[in-house]
Amino acid sequence: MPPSIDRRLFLRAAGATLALPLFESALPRASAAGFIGASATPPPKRLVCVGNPFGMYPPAFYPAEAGAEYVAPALLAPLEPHRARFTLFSHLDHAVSGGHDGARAFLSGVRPIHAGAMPERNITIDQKAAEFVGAATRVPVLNLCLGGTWEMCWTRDAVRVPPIGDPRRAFDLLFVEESVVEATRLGQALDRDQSILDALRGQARAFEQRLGGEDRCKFEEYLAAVRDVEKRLAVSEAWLHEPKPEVEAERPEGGARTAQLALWFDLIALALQTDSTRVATLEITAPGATNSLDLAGSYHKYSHHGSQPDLIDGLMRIERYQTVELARFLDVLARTPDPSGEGVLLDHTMVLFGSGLGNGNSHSCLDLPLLVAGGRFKHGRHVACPAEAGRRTPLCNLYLTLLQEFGLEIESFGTSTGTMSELLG
Amino acid sequence: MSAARAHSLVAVLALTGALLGAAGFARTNAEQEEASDASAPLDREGVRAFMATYCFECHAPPEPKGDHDFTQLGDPSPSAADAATWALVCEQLSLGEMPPRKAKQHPERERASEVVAWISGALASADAHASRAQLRRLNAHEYRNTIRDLLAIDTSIFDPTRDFPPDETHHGFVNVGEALVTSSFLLEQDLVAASSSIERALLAGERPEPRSYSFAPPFMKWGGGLLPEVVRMNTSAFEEIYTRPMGLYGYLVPDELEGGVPHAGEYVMRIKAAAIGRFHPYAALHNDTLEPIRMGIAAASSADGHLRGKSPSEVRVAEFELGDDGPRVYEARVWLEAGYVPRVTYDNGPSVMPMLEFFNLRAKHHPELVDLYPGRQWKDDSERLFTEGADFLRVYAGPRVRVFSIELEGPFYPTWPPASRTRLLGEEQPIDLAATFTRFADRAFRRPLDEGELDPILELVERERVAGASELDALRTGLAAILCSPQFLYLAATSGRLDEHELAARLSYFLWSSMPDDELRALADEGALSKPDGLRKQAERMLADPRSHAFVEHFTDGWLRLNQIGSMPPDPERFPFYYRSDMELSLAKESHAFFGHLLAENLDVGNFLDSDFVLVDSVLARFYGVPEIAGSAFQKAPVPDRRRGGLLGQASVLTATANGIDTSPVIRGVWVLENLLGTPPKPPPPGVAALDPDTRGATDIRAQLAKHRADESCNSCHAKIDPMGFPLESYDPIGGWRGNYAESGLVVDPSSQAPDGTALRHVGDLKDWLLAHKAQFARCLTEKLVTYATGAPVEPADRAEVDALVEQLAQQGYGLRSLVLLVIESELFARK
Repeated sequence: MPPSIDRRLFLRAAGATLALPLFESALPRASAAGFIGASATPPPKRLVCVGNPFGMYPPAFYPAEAGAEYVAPALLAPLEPHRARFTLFSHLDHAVSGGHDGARAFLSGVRPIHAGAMPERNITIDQKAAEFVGAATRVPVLNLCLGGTWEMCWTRDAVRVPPIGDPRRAFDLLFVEESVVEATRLGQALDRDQSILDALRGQARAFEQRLGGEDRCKFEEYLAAVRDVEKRLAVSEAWLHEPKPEVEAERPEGGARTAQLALWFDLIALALQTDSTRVATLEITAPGATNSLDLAGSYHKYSHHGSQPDLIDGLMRIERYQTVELARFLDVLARTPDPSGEGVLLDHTMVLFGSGLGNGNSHSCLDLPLLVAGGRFKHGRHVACPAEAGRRTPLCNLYLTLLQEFGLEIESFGTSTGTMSELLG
Repeated sequence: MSAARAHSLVAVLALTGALLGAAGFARTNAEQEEASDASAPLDREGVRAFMATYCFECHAPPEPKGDHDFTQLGDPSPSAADAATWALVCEQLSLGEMPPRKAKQHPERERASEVVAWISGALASADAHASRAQLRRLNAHEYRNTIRDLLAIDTSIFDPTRDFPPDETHHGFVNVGEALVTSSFLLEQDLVAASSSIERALLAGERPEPRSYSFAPPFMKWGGGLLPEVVRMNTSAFEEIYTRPMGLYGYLVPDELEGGVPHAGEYVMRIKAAAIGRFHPYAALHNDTLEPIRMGIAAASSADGHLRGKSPSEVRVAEFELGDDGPRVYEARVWLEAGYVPRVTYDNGPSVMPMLEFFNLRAKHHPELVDLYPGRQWKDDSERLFTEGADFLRVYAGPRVRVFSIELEGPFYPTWPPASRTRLLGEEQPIDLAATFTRFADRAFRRPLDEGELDPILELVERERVAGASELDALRTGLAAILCSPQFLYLAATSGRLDEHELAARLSYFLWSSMPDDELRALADEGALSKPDGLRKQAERMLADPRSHAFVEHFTDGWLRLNQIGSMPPDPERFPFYYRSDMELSLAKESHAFFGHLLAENLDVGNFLDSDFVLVDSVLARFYGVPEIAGSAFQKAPVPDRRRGGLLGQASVLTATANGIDTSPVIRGVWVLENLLGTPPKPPPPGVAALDPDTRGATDIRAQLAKHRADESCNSCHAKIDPMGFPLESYDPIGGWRGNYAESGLVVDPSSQAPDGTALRHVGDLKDWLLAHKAQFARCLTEKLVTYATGAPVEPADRAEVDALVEQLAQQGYGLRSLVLLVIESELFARK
């Protein structure tokens, strides 16, 4: 059955700037066209990580009760229809300080300044998952942002991943076929870049002769970059001649400035549905749809509420908008058939929502707001982890569990000390 | 580390203790006084005894203060794990912050200085720092400048680094090797940037014929919005600009130039325009009548698809001050890239939404127009807006730029083929590919090539040719490969002393953020730079060159952390002036102008701590209350009072140390410690409860911090941080002076007490206190300069050399230019 989206809800959420919703009639034939390798193998897993830089106002996010019988506070109310499909966690964090810099450890467990001491530096969960996917999809990982970046995603080289902020660029990348001329030009450029990279290996050998020991270590970065770009070119080349999935969605109008949360969520859903990617992230640094929220100040201003009631009210509106849109995203995933033909997208998609700050007003990086929806997990509860020092659970235990479920055969991730058995039922 | 050095001080102490007949730390006062007798010549034991007397009271087991147990310190040496702690000891002693006032005993200052000197000496052993600077790559602005100079192309608009991932910083500096990473994201962009730069330099093809364009009003042919439409109802003789460029207003676009100019090149632009209404009656526009009306040219790429408003590719390429004497033709020669459209702006115009504000003005100043059409049925709102708007604009007396005609002619090239192509390919025909690559690589690599160094690229080109690539395509590929080679992308240096070419590159990237020019390169080829005065003469020449603005800008931004500005925009409701006057554009420029002035005039670096003058443009002059400054140029003026003067009075620093919403004495205090005193505090321990700001008014930040300091683990650092920050609470988040907190109404209490006990009543006292510690500040500034000059942070082992520089600086009178030259002639600069 083709998915049907509540058009009114969409338009309301997206604001008037959007001419046409993307997901309005996204189509079953896309799944047939887009899915590479639909066979007897088990359906692939998918992972979506959504984060904001300022946390969720704690009194309105954490229920007083643990377990399945919790009473949903204001910020969770929009997610009530999905209660059975997600798990809420409290008292999870990475035990780091550093305010906004500490928040950059959100998806890795490791602050950028401490990355040097870790074997995989501060690689984030999305990049780790993308490595596992490899060349199986056109886009190994789709990193997006609404309103700029607070540096949520990092590679194993301790480099931050630049996300895409312009919906048109993301749409073109996923769904817009290059013209024959453009494809030929791209093909030639790929060939040429590959030959240049060959020559650069030679150049690098000569250059290394001039370097002392310490500098040779530093120069490893360049050699690794050459290898990585070569790999990426090979993937691009392989996909260059594969047709992009046809979707009946309109190319979004307007650039980064008019993007809205709903639009980004729809793009992610389309990308998953067409198996164009299996891993996506979304950083939310602008409130989005400011007009409909009727706010005078910036997201940042409201996060520094100083306990002033009117500012807290503004912050709540921004954060509630996020959970409303998250709920709508889960709606879409819950009624869109999975491209494998088995069940719906949400059955195979793990959705992580949270922040690297536990409290924007105090800039604390402890007690992070976190929930996980979807996938084959046991859901429906508020898991209150131990709050006392010495007995706390590292957030990376949850990430390890997600990555293992994604298919990685690993025993640790970041600062993990085990898995999150509460999810496994 | 030699075996002898591996002895720990604990062993020494045990030995000393045994000789004195006392065990461990248990000594009598008489023995301590003897051991720390200020007249005794200083040696390892003497330093040890000094520390036992003055430091072990707190920094010893069982509960060492600040987690520093000095009884366990190994000998000071450059490679020792404890080197950083020793450096901290030196800093605290020379600052006089330790021992604290409440300690039982205090050393003579001279003795403390001797101890500092001895430790510094021990930290810098002979050859331990043969290679303190790590391999580093060019950062984005160095790449762009190098491309400009290497290829001889105009990069005022063309930016090959536009899609580079942002560079990582180290303590604010964007040129430190260990922080600058080469990632696959960057290398991918390097491939793109190399090709587009080569393309831009070749300007392949025939010389484009110059064309003349003539645009007459109305310039905005379509979609011009309400305002041009309304103007057109009154006249077709001109079009006017009413606001500064902001959002979707304030740009006059010659719509007929659809798609922009067809070729990159020089264009002559002639605009017939007049300044109208400079002396206007509308106070609500908040527009300064003191300064002339300024008309600008803002070029933007038509590929942005959106030329009506601010555009990501926008570059301001020219500006004119309009006379008040009626229409005149203003002419500028500007470089435009293909696809760019030059748009006319009114740079210091009012910052208002025109139609909205106009109807307010009408009610106030032209009430006779308010109800001209009683009882008329309007077809719709826009009919009414058009009609009433046209009426209003007939009597409008506000300031505006009136444009009568725009002419554009070009492209022009001083030579053809363009100099950039000739520089790449040489004059001779046919092109000798191998010679072309060798000549280019020699300059791109900033040194003569090693034997066979280009072979991989020559082979690549050969393969391309065999595979059927045209000569031009093969050339493109080879040149692009050279620009992606590590020899171009990295500033490499062999260990020990830099050779002549490495030295030339270090100098040019320090002062110009770019490659050596022909003169510097020639001197390096001759081996003239390491001769006496060789570097100094070049440095003097290069500082006089406008390219040295790169040093002023990037050093100042890194040192003062001004790159923070803009990342947390101030609250528009509370700070309308900030937005009304585009204050953000002036902020960093003030600090650049101030630094540049001290540098040019060789003024005392103490001026950074306090000065009796400021350098301001019209915006900051108004903000600070400095009279009679007009225009966008920064001009020197006496300080209005002690609230300004020095870095701590600059809105740039005060904005960068706030978050746009509120201020924190902790953040500003840490800034003072890090960037003026060179004693950054340790980061807070993990797990410590963060302050949860409460601005409702029951308590102020001082009371909240007092609670915080009650915790001893917090107090050890906050006792140093907070006193430096409290006096700066007198400045709001954009550096405005305040007596009360806007949110809570509480009165600001700027008083505090310096760690040495000096009472600081307000920021004036803080500046006096800092001036009394000028030597400490000079050492901090020296460390920052060495970091920027060499692309590597200063290590404990460099302490003695830095001290020597500071001493020489004091002898030479503390001039900033003297300091820069001292750094350039130092051993630290000459070694890797």
